[in-house]
Amino acid sequence: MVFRKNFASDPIVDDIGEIGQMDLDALKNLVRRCLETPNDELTCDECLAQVDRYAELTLAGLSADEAMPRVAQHLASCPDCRREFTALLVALQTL
Amino acid sequence: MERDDMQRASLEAGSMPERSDADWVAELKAGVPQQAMAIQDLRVILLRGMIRAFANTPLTEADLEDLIQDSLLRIIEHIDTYRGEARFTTWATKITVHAVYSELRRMRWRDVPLEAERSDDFPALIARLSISTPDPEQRTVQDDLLNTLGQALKELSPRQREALLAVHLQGIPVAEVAASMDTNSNALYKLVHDARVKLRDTLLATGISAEEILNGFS
Repeated sequence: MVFRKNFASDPIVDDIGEIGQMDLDALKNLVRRCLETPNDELTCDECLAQVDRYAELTLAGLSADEAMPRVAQHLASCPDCRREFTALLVALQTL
Repeated sequence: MERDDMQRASLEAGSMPERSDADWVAELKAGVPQQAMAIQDLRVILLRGMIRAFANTPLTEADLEDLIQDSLLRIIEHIDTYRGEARFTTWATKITVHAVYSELRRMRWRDVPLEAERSDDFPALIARLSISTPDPEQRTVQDDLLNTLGQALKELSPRQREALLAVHLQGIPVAEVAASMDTNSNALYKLVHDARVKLRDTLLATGISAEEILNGFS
């Protein structure tokens, strides 16, 4: 089975589409994520353990993707971690 | 946050002693009053960051303060796991963002009951997609791809299919899907990863390149 949900508006998670409105783009994204999946991928916890360093590199304008490609890959394929990373960058800019 | 409050927080932060990462760790592990001062300063830093990061969410400043309080306890409890790979304040901010975001997800989903829908509805979804493409030639290419994709999905285990579609097609947070499937986020993510690898291999086994496959969906 798959899940069916209704969504309320939420700016932090506004890239979540409404259930039932699946279109070709959503399916294309699914296929892209599958095609780009490496055999060894970080879990969410493993990504979380390293994402602070990745965020510092990003804010310093350094090549975070090159330095930490597995974190970059996980963030590209995990919507939850990507949203948290975005919020982390915003918060860190106040330090 | 109101402008006055922002100024207050800014002023409080401005009056803090400068601390190295080692200072933070030492003070947060120290007894009263050193620890209390460090906790208070860290609280101000975290509040400023969370207010900025979660400004456009249903969370109030009071909510954020509660979540920061919980995070401070967690930070102190797990301070020995800080390895110095990032600045201490970055590490603490990461832990707090994770806590706030988790709460935001809970708030967003707690009043929305999950309804189960049979996965054999997928062919119907595919049929709907096919109809939406008017160009006959493109439609043929897409139909072939969609049939392959449908077949590949059928070859997944029911749990893999359920998790994959919920996370990547319907955009439901991993943590929420995990809770609904009586598992944890890491195990769920692994389930989704294995499903993606299986689909990847099935699609590429057709001999069509990744680029051609993606172009077929354009």
